Amino acid sequence: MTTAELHYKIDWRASGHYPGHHASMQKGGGLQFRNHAALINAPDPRRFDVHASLRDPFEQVQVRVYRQTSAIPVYVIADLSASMSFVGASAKMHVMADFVAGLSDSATRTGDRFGFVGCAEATSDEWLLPATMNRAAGAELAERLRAYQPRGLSSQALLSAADSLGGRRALVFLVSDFHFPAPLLAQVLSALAYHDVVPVMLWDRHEHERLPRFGLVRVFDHETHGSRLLLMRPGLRRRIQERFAVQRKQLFDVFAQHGRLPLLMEDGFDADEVTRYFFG
Amino acid sequence: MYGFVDPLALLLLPLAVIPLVARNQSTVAYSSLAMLPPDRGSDIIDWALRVLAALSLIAIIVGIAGLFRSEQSVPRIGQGAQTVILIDSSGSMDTGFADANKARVAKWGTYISKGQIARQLLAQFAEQRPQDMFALFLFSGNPIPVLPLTAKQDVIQAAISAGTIERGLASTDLGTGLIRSLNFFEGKPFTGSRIVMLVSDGAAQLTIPVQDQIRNLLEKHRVTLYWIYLRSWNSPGLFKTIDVETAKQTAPEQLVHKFFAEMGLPYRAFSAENPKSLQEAIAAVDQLQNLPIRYMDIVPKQDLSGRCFAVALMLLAALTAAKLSELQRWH
Repeated sequence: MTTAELHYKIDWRASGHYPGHHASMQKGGGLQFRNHAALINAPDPRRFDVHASLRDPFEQVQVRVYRQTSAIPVYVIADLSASMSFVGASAKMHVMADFVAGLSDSATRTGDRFGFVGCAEATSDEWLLPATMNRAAGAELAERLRAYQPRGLSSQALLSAADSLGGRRALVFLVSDFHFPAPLLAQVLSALAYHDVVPVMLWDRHEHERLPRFGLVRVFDHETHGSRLLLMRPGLRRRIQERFAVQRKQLFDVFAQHGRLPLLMEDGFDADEVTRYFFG
Repeated sequence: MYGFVDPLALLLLPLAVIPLVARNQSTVAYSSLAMLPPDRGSDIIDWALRVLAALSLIAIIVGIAGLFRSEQSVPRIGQGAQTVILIDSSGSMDTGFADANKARVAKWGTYISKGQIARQLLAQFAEQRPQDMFALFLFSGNPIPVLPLTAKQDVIQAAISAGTIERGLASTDLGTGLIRSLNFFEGKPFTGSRIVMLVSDGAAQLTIPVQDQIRNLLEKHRVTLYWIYLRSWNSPGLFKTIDVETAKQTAPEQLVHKFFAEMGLPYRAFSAENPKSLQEAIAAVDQLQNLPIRYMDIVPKQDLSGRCFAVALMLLAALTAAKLSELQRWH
């Protein structure tokens, strides 16, 4: 199966030693000039700089030091609470699986390690993939996600997801519908503050925009196991749409305060859209 | 009072709680209820549907149990006279009416008898006085109470039209009939004009003690006496002047009329021959003072299970409409 390829970039310097695609703090065999150093400190005679050596008042032999590019870990932190089982135009879990497949493939091709942390009430080993270069791991995980019916009763484990990410700063895609209380969201974003977090909002147009026009319907929430009878009618339809519009604005505000605007996925996974998010 | 034919079925009543607590309606999955704004209209519909379902169950169960309302008396206020109709059903009433048929030997069915004329008149009279209450007595030998005081036209008309057949008895005991019908008012509150409407050809004689008793009772119960007189063929009638001895022989009704007229109590005679007499009689009753009559009316036992089922049907129709407007899927 061919997966769509997406591209991403970061606007910070990676700290990993492992050579890769991203601007790095590490000295090494890159093209970007960093500084001059005495040969005794940077013993690489191939980088001997005649001008700098002649200019040096202490008459030391100067060599040029370059920065290398480094690989970064790319993580997906996925909300696996029951609300993600919603099936609209397409199932949210399918969209997530597509995204994971595309991202893991692209990450491997970019030279980065890909990892996955699935969160419900608690993190579980079943849904934990430590960052790896193994390109089959992401595809296999995507298939498991596609067949999975999330039954988590909350998204509480997002708080402890940061513990599974390792010490290096990572590019983190936080995939969720963000249907949870605002305080929890703020805590989650604070817990992940060390990393570069891209919130991926999985909303479905059938969830908030293309609503039924008229009829009685008993809606059931698998997360809270509550149900409610709704008399769908134009007035209520408009109120729901407005409620979601307000929620979207609030989420955008919160995410902006934490550094990044969210990546909104309303019409399924589109790799070009992700690329546009970084380069558009 | 209400009762049940089959009270054991009421044991099913706790079933009505099921719609209030059960939540096994088909549901549609949604991501988060917290994202849906509160909606009073939907909540009201929700509870209304539950209550409707519970009520329809109650209605069905009560219908199965066979709810009925037992016979009861209801106080009613009527306005009008209280009329006791006293019909002479003696054999002479089966003979032809004055102008009906001149044949000497009449065959039953080929002529209109006096009794039939009388009943036609009474039926019209009762029909035009719907607010009045009527009681009905028949007399020939012994008086027979047929109908107690009632304002129900159906019953009155049926009672009047019953008995329009031949075979009246030979005797005519007018005195006993009158006394019996007057005694009908004994002990009843005086709530309106009281009328005894005597329908007779009057071929009877009243002895002095009977006359006294009749006069006393009429006065005691304050009763107005009307006599709808049916003249026999060849009879001189009430108003033709003949001397007393001849009257005794050929027209005893003249003596009876004379007695009534000379009592000094309210009395009128109407002749059935005169087509206006019915109108006169009605007008005369109209002129009497009528107080509201307060009386107890008897409502028969009513089976209410049909109504229970009708109510259940309506409720279920509403529930079906709700079910049909239910969405099976979100989009």
